[in-house]
Amino acid sequence: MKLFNALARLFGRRRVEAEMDEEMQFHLEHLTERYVNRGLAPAAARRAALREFGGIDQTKEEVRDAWGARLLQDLARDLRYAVLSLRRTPGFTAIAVVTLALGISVNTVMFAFVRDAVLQPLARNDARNLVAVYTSRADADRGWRYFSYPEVEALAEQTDVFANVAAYTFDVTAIGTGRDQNLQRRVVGMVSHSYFDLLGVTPHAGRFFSPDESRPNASIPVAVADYGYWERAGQPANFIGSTVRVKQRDYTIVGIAPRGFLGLSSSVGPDLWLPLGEAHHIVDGDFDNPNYHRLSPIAQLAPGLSAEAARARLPAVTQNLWNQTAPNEDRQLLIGAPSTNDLQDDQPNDESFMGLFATLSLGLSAVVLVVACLNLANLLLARGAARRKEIAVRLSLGASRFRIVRQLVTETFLLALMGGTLGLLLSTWVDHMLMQLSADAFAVSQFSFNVRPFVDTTTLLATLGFSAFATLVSSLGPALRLTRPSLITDIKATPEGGADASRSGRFFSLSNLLVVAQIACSLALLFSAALFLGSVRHARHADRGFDPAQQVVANLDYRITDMDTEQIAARQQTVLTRLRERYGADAVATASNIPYNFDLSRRSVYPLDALAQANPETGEPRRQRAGYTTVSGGYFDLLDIQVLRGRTFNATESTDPAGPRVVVIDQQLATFLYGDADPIGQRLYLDKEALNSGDTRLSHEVIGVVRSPRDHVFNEPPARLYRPLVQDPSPNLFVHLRQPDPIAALPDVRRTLDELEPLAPLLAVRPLASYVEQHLSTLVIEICGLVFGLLGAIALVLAVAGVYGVKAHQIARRTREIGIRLAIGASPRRVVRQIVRQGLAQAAVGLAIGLGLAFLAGQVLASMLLQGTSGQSLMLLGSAAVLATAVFLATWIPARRAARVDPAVTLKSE
Amino acid sequence: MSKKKNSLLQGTVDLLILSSLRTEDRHGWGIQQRIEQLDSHVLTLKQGSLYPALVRLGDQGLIHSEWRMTENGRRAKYYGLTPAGRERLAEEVAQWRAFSSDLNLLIEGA
Repeated sequence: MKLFNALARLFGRRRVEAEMDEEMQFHLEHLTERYVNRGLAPAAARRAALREFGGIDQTKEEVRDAWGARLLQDLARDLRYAVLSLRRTPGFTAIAVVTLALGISVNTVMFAFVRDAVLQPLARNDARNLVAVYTSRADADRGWRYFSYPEVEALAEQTDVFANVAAYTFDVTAIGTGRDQNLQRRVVGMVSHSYFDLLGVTPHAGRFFSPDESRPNASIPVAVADYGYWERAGQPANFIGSTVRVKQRDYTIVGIAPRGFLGLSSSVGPDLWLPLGEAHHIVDGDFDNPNYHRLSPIAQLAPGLSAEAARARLPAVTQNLWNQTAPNEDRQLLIGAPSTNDLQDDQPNDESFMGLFATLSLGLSAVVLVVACLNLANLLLARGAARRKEIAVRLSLGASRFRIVRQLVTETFLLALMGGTLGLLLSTWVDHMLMQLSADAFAVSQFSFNVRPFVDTTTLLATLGFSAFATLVSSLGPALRLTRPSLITDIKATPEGGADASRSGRFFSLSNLLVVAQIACSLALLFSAALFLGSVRHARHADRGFDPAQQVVANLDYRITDMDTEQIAARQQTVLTRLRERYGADAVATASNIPYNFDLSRRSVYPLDALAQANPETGEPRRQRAGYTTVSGGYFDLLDIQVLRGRTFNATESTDPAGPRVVVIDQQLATFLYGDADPIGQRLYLDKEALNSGDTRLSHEVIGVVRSPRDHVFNEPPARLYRPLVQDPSPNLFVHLRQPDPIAALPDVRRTLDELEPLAPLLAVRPLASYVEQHLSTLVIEICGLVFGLLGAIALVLAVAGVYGVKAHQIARRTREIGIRLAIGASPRRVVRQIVRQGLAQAAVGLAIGLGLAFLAGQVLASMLLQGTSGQSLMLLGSAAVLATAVFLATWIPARRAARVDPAVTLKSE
Repeated sequence: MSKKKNSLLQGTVDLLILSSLRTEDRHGWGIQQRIEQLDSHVLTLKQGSLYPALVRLGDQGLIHSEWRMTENGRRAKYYGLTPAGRERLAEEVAQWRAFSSDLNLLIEGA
């Protein structure tokens, strides 16, 4: 209030002063009148009144004090002085501003990332008391599964624990019309009517779904568009009420989701939301069937119920649930924080990676800011030493220490403000660059990507906070030190430093200690960045288990045609044959899926003796979940997937739908199912009914084991199983073509497929490598590499600039001493050697402390880094060597310059 | 007011001003007159204390001010109590009563 009033008075100063004057005159006139009434002549009465008043100007001054105007005037004076002072030293100002800008921009970008990825989703979920509901099972092969719709309904009845329950599922399907112009494979979210309400959002326009629409198998074709989808459509005024074709079914758009809404995900989401009642059209399932498990539930806890209290009631809820839906079910219910990492998963997602990643990113960027502050503090100390005499004179003339400290802090605040502004501009540019990179990549992906406005109030406040932190950290120490009362020594000091020069040259001077601290922090930072980069490099160059080079992939989606399975199989066989005629027999293969694609196809695999190995408590047969791909002949050769044992499909198996039931499995599945035993010739079942029948003719023979193709940068590849495409035709077909120049071949491939297959929509014709490059995990790795590489580079630049700045200053102030030593016979080489030795001794102490810090950082990072962090010692030594070299150069260059000075000239100038 | 009396009244300026505004809005001169009316030999308030105190009380939201015409047709700045000012006055009065009561007891006991 007082500050507000003070500011208001400052800006309306003329009016306020006039009013004060009028008020005082009014008072004075009454006082004069009283003296006149007592018998004094008017002039004498006026004088008496003025005497009693005690001086109008003094009173006004006291009123101004009460306004707080004086404080503001002082601040304005300090700022003016700071501007003049910084203008006098443009070199110092530029270095300081750039140093701070680097530190602040890194922290601003990191803050924005953490805000988007971690803080906002967490805050949203916490505020609404949301939990995800999971099921766990004791048997080893698969602990988690989705829920059926009847189970979700039964959960919603447990009102003493859950106030509201919603269910959701996702799928990738074709949205749009036309053969390949507007038709795209995109993610569609299918949700129960309470989903939006639970997440606390209201539509941007129109409405969300009604309970009738989301009832299982309701078949009311309505859709809610993602805000980004609406934007990309050009935001037409008649958008609501228009239709969109999804998997060849027309949906009426009834609403638009609010801007930035991605469901539970923090960064990517679907293009369209459909009511759950439409889900059976998209994923071909019966949602009324209690054995059809496809949904993920999310719930809001009953009012006032904590997560712990809810967990205590879960056993009773579990019992009620299975009593109503599946009496023989042995699963337990669990609740946990809703996942914000992925669109959907069938098991609780571990959010700790995101949290740890965010903490470490912020931690590392904070170290950059600290290094920048140390740097600035040292520059201020060096600059302040030259101003020591001026400060001492001001102190001796009666200026308070507080007043001078305030002046020095104001100067730094001004620097921090300029650094913050530049930092904000820099971070906006970096953010724009990252967003552009991501947007380009996501333009061809299947997700809607949420690009949030970067410079919002929170970011501005955070930047201001970082600037204030930088001001405090970098200015207080030097300011207090420079105003330490030692007047006589300081007044006697020469402009070059004199007494202080020897002080700053001492090994344990504050300036040198700051250099040591800077080197130590920089080493820890460089090493952390090197670890990350090593890890990123490993991920980037990891053996994928297949060769994406020289490969074009075309995606034909038969799901949106009216063909039945037999017709689809026949068409696909024709297409394959024609393509082989056109491009060569060994240059074409087809498959139901490709690596690095959004793939939810999983199958339960039962070894022949799965029943014998059943869980003794539940009786559930032993099984393993595995990725499921059907492939044409020649697939493994074409993708260069190495065959480890046995063989791949022969001509008969690849072409005869009634051919022998054979499978090729990857090494992961082989290990899971058979351990060290030879898998070749073993038999397995691909569905429970076949297993229960006991008919071995329904089982499949393992004929080969191949290397596991990696389909995600971070994780180990999932177990995978392959079958001949003709035995299980996939309505979604990926055609692989080997082409020497995939990009150049795209138009020809597209044209050929247009001619060969006019019936099935051609969704994409792309080089296989682009799927790898534009996969979410690859993008994350690339962004991590960019960010941590930048952090390391900034730390190195700051460390070198800081050490160089301080050393150059220290050495410049020792010019007289160096001149004398040269004059009395010391060789320039010896002088340089001695100065460099001192610098390296400091570097050694800094590096020794830094090694300890780096070791600790390595321990923390090891838990979250990807594979490939071996060779840590080498990285540590490399980082230390880089820093030591930088310090050597930062000391050697100014020392060499000082030693070249003519001693006679130096002494004469003194 | 003598120095001795002045030291006795230190810390009561706010109470004096707020009390003087209890019954009606007054300008600065009016406030000073009201205080002096009570006992001009004991309670006086110098302008140098009055006007800064009015600014401070205004900034605290305890009094409000506005320009009005006096009975003589002159323009003057009138001050009045806000609801918060009335609450503060009640508190200060209660505190003062307790203080003076204890002080009286102590003095009489001595």
